[in-house]
Amino acid sequence: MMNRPTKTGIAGTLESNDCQVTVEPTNDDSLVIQIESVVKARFGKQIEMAVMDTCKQLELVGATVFVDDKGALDFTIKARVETAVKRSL
Amino acid sequence: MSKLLEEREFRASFQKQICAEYPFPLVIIKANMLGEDKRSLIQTIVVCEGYFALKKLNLKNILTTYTLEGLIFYISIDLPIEQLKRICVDIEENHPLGRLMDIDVMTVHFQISRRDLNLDSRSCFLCDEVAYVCVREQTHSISDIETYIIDTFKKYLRTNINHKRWQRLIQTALIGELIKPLGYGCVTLGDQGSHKDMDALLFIDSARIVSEEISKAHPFSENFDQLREVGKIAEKRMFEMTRGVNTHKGAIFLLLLVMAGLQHPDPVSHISFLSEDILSDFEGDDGSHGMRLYKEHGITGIRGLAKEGFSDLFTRTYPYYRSHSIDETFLWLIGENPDTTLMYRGGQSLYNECREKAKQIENVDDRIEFDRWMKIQGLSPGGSADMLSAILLIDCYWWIMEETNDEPTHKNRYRRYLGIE
Repeated sequence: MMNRPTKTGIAGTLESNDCQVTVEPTNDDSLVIQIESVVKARFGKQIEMAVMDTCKQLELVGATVFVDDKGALDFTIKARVETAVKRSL
Repeated sequence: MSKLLEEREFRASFQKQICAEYPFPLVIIKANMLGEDKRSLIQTIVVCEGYFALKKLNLKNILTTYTLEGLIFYISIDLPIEQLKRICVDIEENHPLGRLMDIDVMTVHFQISRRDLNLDSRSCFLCDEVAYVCVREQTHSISDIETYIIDTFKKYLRTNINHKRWQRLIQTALIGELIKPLGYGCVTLGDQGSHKDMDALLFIDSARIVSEEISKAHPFSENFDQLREVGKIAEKRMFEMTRGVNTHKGAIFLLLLVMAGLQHPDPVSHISFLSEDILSDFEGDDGSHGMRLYKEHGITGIRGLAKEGFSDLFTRTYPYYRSHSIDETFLWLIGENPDTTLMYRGGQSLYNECREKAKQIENVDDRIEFDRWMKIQGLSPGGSADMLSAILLIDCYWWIMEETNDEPTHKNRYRRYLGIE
């Protein structure tokens, strides 16, 4: 069963070691992931992988996922993505 | 989602509410600690020191919360946001506990970062790398980080300036007492207990002033009258600050004597020697609770205990604390320690009932029920809370005076101070 957002879902905070995730619906089946991070140069790819994994597990389609990262660990990023997706459905 | 992440999200919206209500930049003081439950002695002291460092500014509103994230201060301050952020960065970089603090500055729309001021990101505790990188890569082991935290705290208490050392020790003892999970009628960091006129913030402010005053008595450990003079000034300043509310009157008397005792090889006999003539107090009348109880029932209270050199505190209660939690120790004190504050407020029969109940507690439900019962009765075991402060003073003092860190009890102690019980 695919999950498709119907509204904007936001989770997380902009504090150190946390991130804010915004999930928005798109007009097609695509999945777009955007990352902004204080450690983007070194860990941008890893963060993107963590976000991608979580979106796949949730079978998310038709969504833009924007992550504003302030140095969160992967488990925090995953938890925040999951909550933002749930709130967008 | 973990409870901690949930709390953090809830706090973010709470902060926005404060910003909306008070049209000033908001400063949030937390501690950089590990774990899913950050409540601990060290976390609490670190955050309070951050608050004290900001106190001279134009503070418009002060709130505190006490959750799994530990003690947090929310302070609205009437200063331009950039200037405020610079002050906070300076505290984080230069205060002896600053490296353990996490001070954010925000308005309703905007959280200012070091980058916005062209300042370097914070570096790691343990190496020169940017902190974000070490956190992400988990470069350092948890035990190395814990060791850094505990060493920083010990160094802070151990400062070579004698007056400052005693001020920090006493402040730690007075504030540390507030972390007890249940107050049984007393004020804690998260609960006003049976008191409508007191809360955690009042106790924290009072602890600052009282510790500043009574630490001045550290060179007078041989002279009871000089100790007493310092105590009177401390009491006066406390009442001025609290506008007449008695937060630490009993603690002042107790900690002055314990401080004097600790500076001698045999604290009990020294305190007993100092307090030789103390029962002659009862020939006068200072109008205190203790005095009333003596006149009416012949109960000598805290003065009687001082005359014995607080022998119970040093030889029974303190050893008990070393192998029990702060909550268990507090209950033991309520059950065992003669508490004239409690006796005065409750009268003899309620007092006895309360002590019996404290002794019979077996599980968490009993504790919560006892806490509720004490509040309904309007009781508050203030004398026992003072004893808890004295225990913390003894424990911290002996800890910082140790020459080496590798004695077996060291690890237990630091786990306790970090709240990993």
